[in-house]
Amino acid sequence: MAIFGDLKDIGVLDIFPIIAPQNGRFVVEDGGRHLIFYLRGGRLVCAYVNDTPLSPAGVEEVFLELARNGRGRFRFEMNQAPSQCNAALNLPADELLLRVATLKDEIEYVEKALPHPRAEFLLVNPEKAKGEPELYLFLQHAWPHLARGASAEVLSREFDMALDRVRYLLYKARLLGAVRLRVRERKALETPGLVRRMLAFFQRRSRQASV
Amino acid sequence: MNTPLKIVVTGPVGAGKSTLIRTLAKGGYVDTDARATEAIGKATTTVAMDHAVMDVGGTTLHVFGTPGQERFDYMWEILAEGALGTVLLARADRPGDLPKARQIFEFILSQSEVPYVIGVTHLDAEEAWAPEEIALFLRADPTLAVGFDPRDPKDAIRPFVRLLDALDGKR
Repeated sequence: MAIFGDLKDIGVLDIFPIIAPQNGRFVVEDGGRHLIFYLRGGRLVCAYVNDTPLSPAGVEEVFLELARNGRGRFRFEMNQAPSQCNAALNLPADELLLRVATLKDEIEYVEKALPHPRAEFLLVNPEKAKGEPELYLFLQHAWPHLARGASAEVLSREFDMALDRVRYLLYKARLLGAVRLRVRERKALETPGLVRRMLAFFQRRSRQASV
Repeated sequence: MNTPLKIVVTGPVGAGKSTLIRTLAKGGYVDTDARATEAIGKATTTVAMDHAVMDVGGTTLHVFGTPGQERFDYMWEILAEGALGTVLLARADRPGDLPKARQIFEFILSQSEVPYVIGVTHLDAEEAWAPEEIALFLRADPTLAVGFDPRDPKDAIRPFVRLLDALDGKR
């Protein structure tokens, strides 16, 4: 007997609380990725993505991604302990789940208002985000990129963060006036004569259509 | 020989992109509609692009319509390369679609230098936002928002005339 299934049917936030108190490894085949999370006594002891160990921040990002867009086969293998932990995490699983569930809810609440992943933002006044420690820290890290204009897609790649989390942080930063949309100059047309000829054509066609 | 010109029509699903291009093309029209595989509020949807060619006073004008579904966002970038301008369509009677229209609009503003106008459709609905109200929501210049009926050949050219006016320096 084994616990297995697909994350599209049973979300990671549903399955993880059941397996978290046990000892073993939770394996997810997520597209091209092979994710392994080792659990012992309610704590996440180490985690790997395609054999690369995850940092505590990395684990949160991966969990958020799984919780938001989770697809892929999963299985829980009881009593499988890591032969060695390259980067020990020792994170309480319930705390991790609570943080990810809260963040997921917050993101879903404002989902439609989140910026396009490729819309670029410029840093205006990071001090306005001082009351939001996580956001302020993110803006400090992202400052060199945001000083010249950067999108959520670029920042997510650069800092190995879940794309939706970065979109959410940029949304909050924008609300506070810490960043603004980078608007490019509209290109001036070099052939005004052509524009006038086309305008005349459309106006003629409009008159013909109304007859 | 005149260099062919290009205008791109974009916007959320159901905003009227395919209808507009069909009206403009008067038959010389290619669409790539396929049966919708998800609930998007209509039976078919554009999966690659709509395309119409017009002879505009001796100059060839290509009008391309992008697919409205999110997973085809990248098509806008491909189609907008070297475009004269973009027409962003938004429905006046579906406020629920406006956040998506704003996402597309902000993407256009920050990723390209292509001039734009906002074409507002379905103004004849019982309840509808005014074009200026839609511009307000999009944080866009209200003088660049034009209401029109994409089914009406006379009306369908209004966003293009406004775009050309803007290119000609008229507010």
